[in-house]
Amino acid sequence: MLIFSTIRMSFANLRANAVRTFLTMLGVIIGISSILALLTIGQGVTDSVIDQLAGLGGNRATVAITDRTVKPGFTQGELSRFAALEGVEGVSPSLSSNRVLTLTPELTSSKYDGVYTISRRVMGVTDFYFSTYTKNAGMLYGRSISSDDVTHRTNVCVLGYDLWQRLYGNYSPVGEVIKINNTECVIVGVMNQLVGIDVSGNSSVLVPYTTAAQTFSMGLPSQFDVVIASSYDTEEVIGRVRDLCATLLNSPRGEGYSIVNQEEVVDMVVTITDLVLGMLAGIAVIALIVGGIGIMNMMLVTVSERTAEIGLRKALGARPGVILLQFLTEAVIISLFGGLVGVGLGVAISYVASVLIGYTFVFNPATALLALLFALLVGAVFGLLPARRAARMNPIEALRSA
Amino acid sequence: MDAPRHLLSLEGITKTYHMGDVPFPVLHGITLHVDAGEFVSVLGPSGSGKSTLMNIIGCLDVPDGGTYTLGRRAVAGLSEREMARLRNRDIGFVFQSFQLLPRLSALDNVMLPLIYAGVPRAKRRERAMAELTRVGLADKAQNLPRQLSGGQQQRVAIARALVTRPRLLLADEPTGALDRATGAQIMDIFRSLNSEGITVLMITHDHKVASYASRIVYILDGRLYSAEEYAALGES
Repeated sequence: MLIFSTIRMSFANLRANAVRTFLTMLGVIIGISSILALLTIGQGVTDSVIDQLAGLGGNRATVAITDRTVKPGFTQGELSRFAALEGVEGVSPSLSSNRVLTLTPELTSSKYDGVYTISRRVMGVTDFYFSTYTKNAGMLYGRSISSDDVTHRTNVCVLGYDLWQRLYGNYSPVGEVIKINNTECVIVGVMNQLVGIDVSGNSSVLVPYTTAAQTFSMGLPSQFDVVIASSYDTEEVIGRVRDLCATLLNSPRGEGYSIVNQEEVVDMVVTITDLVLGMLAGIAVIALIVGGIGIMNMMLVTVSERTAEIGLRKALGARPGVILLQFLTEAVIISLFGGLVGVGLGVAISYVASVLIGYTFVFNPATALLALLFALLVGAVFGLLPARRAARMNPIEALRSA
Repeated sequence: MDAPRHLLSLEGITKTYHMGDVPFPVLHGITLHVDAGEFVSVLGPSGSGKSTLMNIIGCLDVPDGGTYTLGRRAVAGLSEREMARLRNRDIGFVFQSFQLLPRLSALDNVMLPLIYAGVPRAKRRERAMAELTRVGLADKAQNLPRQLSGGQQQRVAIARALVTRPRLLLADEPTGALDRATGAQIMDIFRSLNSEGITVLMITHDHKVASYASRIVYILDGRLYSAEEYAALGES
């Protein structure tokens, strides 16, 4: 009953100083909304990274020659030996370099008049690249690169989505011919837009890696991805890959090459994301503490402005505890409302961020509740000192100040 | 001992203030007995110690020496909580500057002491309204203090002082901020309240105002004198 009267009186007092109350609240709003937004965005991004990597199917490792004097690259035959290892689903060598693309009116109908040249990344890939990395996106037109293309080093190419839009716009160029470094290549397909972490294919031309190696003189691939079948133990399969590397490079002690497990990369990404967000959240907590100091400052001003009122209330029989409760209630109301608005704003910010960055928005009520409790705590802690000052005021001196 | 007969007993009350290390004795052994139903004025010039005496009687301050009994309770040694309870239940204050809260309506101001007494809201309204009616301000219940004249504000303050049905109405220069005509109206209210059986103790520096009381005691340099003693003091 007393508490209801106290809350009612607190609202009346805060309304009487609406501008001051709002400005003080702003500190809490900024603090809480940034904490909540950072936590939500961090969780969303981490989840998305993990989802996308898991969506590729199985675990992967990247094998790379670090010292090309030991061995310049892997031959097609050597790659087949890796692919044939037990537990290896396939290997995907990667070669890429910028090359000049030429579109001439005699060979192809592009968006441009006359001869058009453009420098773009040419990626040498295998059929396996399409069956694992881009299988979710799929083909917009035509077909992907086949194992026959790889084996026979055919002059065919697949266009990435963005490049296709740039060159052709809205129709299928399948069957037409473009020149890559003056070598005529038949366009056999166009990829749908890739989304996720590695979207470099969107603006590239994809050719069989054997064609890239020889015809476009990129040399033998010095690195490739190994996709490990999900039913196998990752470490065990990587062990077999390592043994084969040691044999091929004649390097029993593991010099001259590296094998990086994708899981380790994911762990690293998550660790770094957590670290960065943790630091930002730390700054946000500091902002909230500054907000708390704002509350304390405002309440100290309020207490000294209302000295006469405090004296009167004491003369009318308000116990020190009641006075303490009244001023503490005002501080907590500021922080609680600031917290509520902050949670709303934080959720809105993280929703907008999810749309902009492109991950799925997840609202966690527990995080929101935690943020709200934190706001409450800030109000109570920083409201205590001014409230105690009010409660301990000498009623005679307080009354005399009127 | 016949102390319980008195509503209020002060015996040898002393009080000394300290300005840094320098002591300023304010009250030198005040002895005063007020019976239930009396209307007593304490008359004295400024600096005589009357405000300090009022603070002690009002349980806002504690004496350094002597005993103070209100009803049957010795006030000395009470905790701050118990003092607050005494102020709430047993004493009604009327101040020179009214001391109404500017953002509360007249009715809410009168209800304030009842909040601290733990009276339910409906009951608070009812009792506050009854007191406002008693001082003739029932129609101004929803007015804010600044929408009332000085005399009306002081009547609201009197209603607030009476609303907890205290044993003692304690008034400190209740007409000090009012013109003479309005001051006289306020004094008439005190007199009529006294005739209804309410004990009034008033502190003032104004002879005319003091003369409304049934008994006047004089305070001078921290000592209290009866009318006869004061007259003798003047002759010597």
